[in-house]
Amino acid sequence: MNLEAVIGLEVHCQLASCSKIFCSCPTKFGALPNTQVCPVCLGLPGVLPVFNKRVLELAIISGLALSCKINNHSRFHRKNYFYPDLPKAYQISQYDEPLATGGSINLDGKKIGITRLHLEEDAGKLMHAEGASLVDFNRCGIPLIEIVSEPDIRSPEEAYAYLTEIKAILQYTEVSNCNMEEGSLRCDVNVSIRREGEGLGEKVEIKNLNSFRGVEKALHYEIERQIEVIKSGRKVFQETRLFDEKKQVTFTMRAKEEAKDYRYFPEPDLLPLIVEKEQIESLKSQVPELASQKKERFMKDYGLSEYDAKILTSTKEMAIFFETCLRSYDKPKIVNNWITTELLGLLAEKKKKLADSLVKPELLTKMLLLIDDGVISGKIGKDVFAEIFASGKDPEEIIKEKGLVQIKDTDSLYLVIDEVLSENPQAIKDYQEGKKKAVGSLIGQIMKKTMGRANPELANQLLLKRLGEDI
Amino acid sequence: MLKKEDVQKVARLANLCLSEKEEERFSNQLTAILDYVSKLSELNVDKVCPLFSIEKERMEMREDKVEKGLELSEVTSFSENIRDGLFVVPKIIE
Repeated sequence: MNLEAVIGLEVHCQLASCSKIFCSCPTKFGALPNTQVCPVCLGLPGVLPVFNKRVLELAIISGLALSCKINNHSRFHRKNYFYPDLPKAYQISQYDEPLATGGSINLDGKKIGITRLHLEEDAGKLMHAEGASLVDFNRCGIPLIEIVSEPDIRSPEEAYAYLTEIKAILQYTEVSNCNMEEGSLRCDVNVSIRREGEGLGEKVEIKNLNSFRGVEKALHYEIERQIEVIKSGRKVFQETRLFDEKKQVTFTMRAKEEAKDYRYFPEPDLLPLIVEKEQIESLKSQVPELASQKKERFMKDYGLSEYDAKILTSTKEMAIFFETCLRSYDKPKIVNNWITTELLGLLAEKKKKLADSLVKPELLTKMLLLIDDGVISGKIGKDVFAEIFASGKDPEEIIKEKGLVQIKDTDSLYLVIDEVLSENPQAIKDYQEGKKKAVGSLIGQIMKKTMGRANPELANQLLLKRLGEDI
Repeated sequence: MLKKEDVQKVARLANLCLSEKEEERFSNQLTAILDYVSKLSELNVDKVCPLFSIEKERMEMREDKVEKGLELSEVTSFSENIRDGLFVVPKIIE
């Protein structure tokens, strides 16, 4: 029996508007609880929602970037349910007429369909304390788009790749900061198991997923669980489950509600949303070059491998950093090496983001020019770079302060070489007996004595001369 | 006639607890309402365009401008049960 997983993802993403979707309250993260609310988002009686123009623009740009069709006519519905974080007892969302439909993204050649993209408002935030739950309504009315994928995803790894690509697209288009810690990007998962080629099985929804890796892990667990249920001859029930990140298991939250239980009906306080062709056309020009396009261009124009190009385009900041470097230092492969090994290495080690790091493109390129000019060696360059990373100081200043300038004058080098030779008569003997390898250990000692500052080529040349070679 | 289970389900969705007597009474009332509204389906509206509003056809929108909302003291005055500026509600266990 050949079983396969069928996965669909729902991504909720906060749009980067200054004010909320239906009122003028700020959307800023980190405010004190219940200080960014008004009668509209609190659902007090007698108020009317007024739709935010910018939210529509951002949602259209998102739809275009995901190759969706933007619908000329869409509308808002009320989704009714009781929960303490929802003061109106309904969420304004879109139902049978979403803003955008029929998009797709490409994952290394495989197309993943996007069923729809719709607008909705966020609910408040619940915190759980001893004996009670506490509600902060600041998030009520935060503008969201929900992006629903087709059930085209077949593995946890593919789900991870899909999410990474969606995030990159939304970040590139600058419609959202996609900060998962701040709740700007959230994800629910639908997964079922079917015999290959047959119809879909009962699907299970998993909520409470706080990271892309969490999604991947939850799916691994859940797929295995469902396969076991099926193999033992039992049935999978349609339900909503939660993922316990610590225990790495999913558990039943509730039987899944059906759409009709939400009693969707058209929001009577809002008129249909009409989007003119002209508006869509003018917003098209605001969709920038996306990660996948940039990746292709980096490979073609700069001769980078797909692997490197993918890393450099994984975030917009990284791609901009790379291309800014090239303006003052036109050697893409060298810049790529320094970014992907040294810079990313240090960022990972110090758990920092590029945006918070002190390394600026001009500091890196200035140092690369100093290496090219022979002022410092590439090896010393790594130390200088670490210092730039730590302090944001100018590389020239660092070199001066730490006395890292390469030793290139013959007299100084001979002094060191002679010292090393006098300490190693055996190595000289070995060399003269034909063991050419002895040179390596001698060079090593010269480097050690000069703390890596000896110009390696010159040191090598002079050493061989001293050993009687005719160069 | 609306079934008892339907009334119970609607009551559950509306977060209401009904006694058996109420269930029966509301079942009658709801049935009467549904019957009344169902009169509309006697009309043939195949050729009638949907009307979303008698006033305007499309939505007015606002600029993305921030305005100050309510003061925290006003917000917290809506409930007697506030802790550190947060609304206290019965513990939610899922």
